[in-house]
Amino acid sequence: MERISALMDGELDDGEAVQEFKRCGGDATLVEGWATYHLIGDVLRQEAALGTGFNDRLREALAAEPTVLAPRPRNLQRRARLFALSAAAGIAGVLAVGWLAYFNHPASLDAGAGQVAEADSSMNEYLVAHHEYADSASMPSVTPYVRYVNEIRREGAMSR
Amino acid sequence: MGDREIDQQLVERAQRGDKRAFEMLVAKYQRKLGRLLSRFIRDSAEVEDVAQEAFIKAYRALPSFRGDSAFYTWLYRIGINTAKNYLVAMGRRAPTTTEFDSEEAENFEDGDQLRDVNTPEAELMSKQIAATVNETMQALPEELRTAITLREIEGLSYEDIATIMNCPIGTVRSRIFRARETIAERLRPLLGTSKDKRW
Amino acid sequence: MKSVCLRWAGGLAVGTALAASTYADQLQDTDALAWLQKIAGAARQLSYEGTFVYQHGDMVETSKIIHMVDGASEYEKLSTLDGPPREVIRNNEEVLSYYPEIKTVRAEKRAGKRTFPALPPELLTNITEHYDVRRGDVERVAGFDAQALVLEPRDGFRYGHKFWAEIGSGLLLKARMFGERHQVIEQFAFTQLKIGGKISLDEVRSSYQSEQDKWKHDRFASNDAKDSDSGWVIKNQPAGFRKVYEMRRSKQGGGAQLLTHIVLTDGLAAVSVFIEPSSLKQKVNEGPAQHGAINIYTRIVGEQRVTVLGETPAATVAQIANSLAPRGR
Repeated sequence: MERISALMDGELDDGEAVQEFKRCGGDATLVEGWATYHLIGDVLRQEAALGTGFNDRLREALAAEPTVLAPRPRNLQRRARLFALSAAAGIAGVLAVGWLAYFNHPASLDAGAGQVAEADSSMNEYLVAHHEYADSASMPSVTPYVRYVNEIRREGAMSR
Repeated sequence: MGDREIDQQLVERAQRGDKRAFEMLVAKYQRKLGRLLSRFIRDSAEVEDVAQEAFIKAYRALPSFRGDSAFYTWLYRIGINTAKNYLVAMGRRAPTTTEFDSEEAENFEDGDQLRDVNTPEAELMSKQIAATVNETMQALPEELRTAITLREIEGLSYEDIATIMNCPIGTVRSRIFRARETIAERLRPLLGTSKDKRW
Repeated sequence: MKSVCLRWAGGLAVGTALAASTYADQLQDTDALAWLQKIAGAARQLSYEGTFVYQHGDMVETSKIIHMVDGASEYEKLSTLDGPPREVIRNNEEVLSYYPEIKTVRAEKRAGKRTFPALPPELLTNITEHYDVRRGDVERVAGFDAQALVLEPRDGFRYGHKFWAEIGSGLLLKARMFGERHQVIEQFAFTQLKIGGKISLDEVRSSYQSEQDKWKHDRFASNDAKDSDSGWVIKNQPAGFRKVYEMRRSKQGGGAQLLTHIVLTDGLAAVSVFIEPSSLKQKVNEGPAQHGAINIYTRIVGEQRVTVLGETPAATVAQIANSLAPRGR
């Protein structure tokens, strides 16, 4: 359970974290710990609580849902080939059910409506330059360089 | 593994058919989503219904989630749309931009909204939970209380907490865990869960 | 259910009242304006050190700041407490940014005049023309009593703001930016702060000072002259925004290629315009985009790539981008 605690704090390295998620799949007490620890954090931050019956009802509703199964887009091709080669009808069947469940509920599509594209990384330089000057051009609405320092966090390793 | 990657891991597991991974996302974000929805819907029972519907919609839409935005950003949009549809279906007008005065906006952020409008039983329960957490916090040994406060309220990393508390990172990790487990132990009877039952 | 309807009806009434207040300008809270002046000076004239949290979207980031004033000189050290380690060291107009994991330090020297210590009158007028400024309650922030100030935008070209200023010194303890639905777009807040006291020069020096000789140094030249004319005009400028900088600057990683950078502000919100030749190799995503609290609009005009971005609603950057044109055409 100590690993769950570290996991939710973002303090496990990637390999450990993946292992821990795997364990959660087979151990309900770990999931319970995860849920309770998150509840504690929210209470300490004075986040409003939902009724205690909420989780039971939601889990029931979720259990009634057809299991969703969707490959990650970047893996799509590789997976598609895999399915073709292995001719694993069983797996393909589950996959189809997942997509059917999705297409039968077009309402869920509106989630993406009005969504604007996230800025691409080529925008980095502009953003940094903007913050450098914006802070001094206007009334200091935040302490100068707050936005700047938060922008350059994302800069560096990835842009070089 | 950082927060966003944790969510991405859970989403990917759920996309591969692991419903429990999705339940972990629900456990993590339900109160945040609840607070968002309470901006549109006053009644706490209705907030819960809409939150449930939003999570189920999100689950169904998982195949379309590609990680372009953070999971919560995506869930947030689904939540807003569900709330709007719900209000329209109930014959109430969905709020438009200018109709919120700033006083109201202020109230939302303090997260007090739900507590004000909870039904008596629900209110009692959330009060009991809050009281138990706070009492147990007060009774914790100083070093455990400081560690969990720096983590949960200040949002500091273990490394920073280690610097502040002048102890090894491993000690921070174990203190935060012990603090959480002590409080969780006191909460379990209230939540109707014991270690062998889920949640 | 009843309470919902009542509450929204109430909100509507307030909204109408605000829109109809033609004499609101005469009713400006003069105390609130004095507070704005006080805030503008405090950040630059006081010595302080503290930890602050910056939130935008679902990102929460914690940094530490040490600010020291020694006579006419200002020193500042900002360091991140989470995510990749970063340090920004500022001495007046000279800014050094440290990226330890790639052993790089970036230096930049500004030529631009800063708007401190006091808010220039034209900036203040600009603010009151486009925001309704009033005082809120006295609240507690980071253990201090703070005067709240609310700046409600008068149109859809800008976001609202709420400031909390320390009651004695005027130092900004917390600031929030609101969107069209009064949702919080970004928030900055001190969680721990010490105002005044003695800060030594060593405390505002970089922690990487001893190693930096071996690091890569990027030096940025920006030819920032107010009268440098880029040859571009904004034909339909959103109300209240005026040009404060127009410059040609070098691109990151060097090269002869220069980039035009224009900065506009309404006194609170800033918008940047970037213009550079669009290369064939680079794919350009035209149209709107978003990055945290920033809205972005990209457009190709002739052979130039125009990018407009700022902490404003999407409509503001779109209007500026769509009305940018080379002069005389």
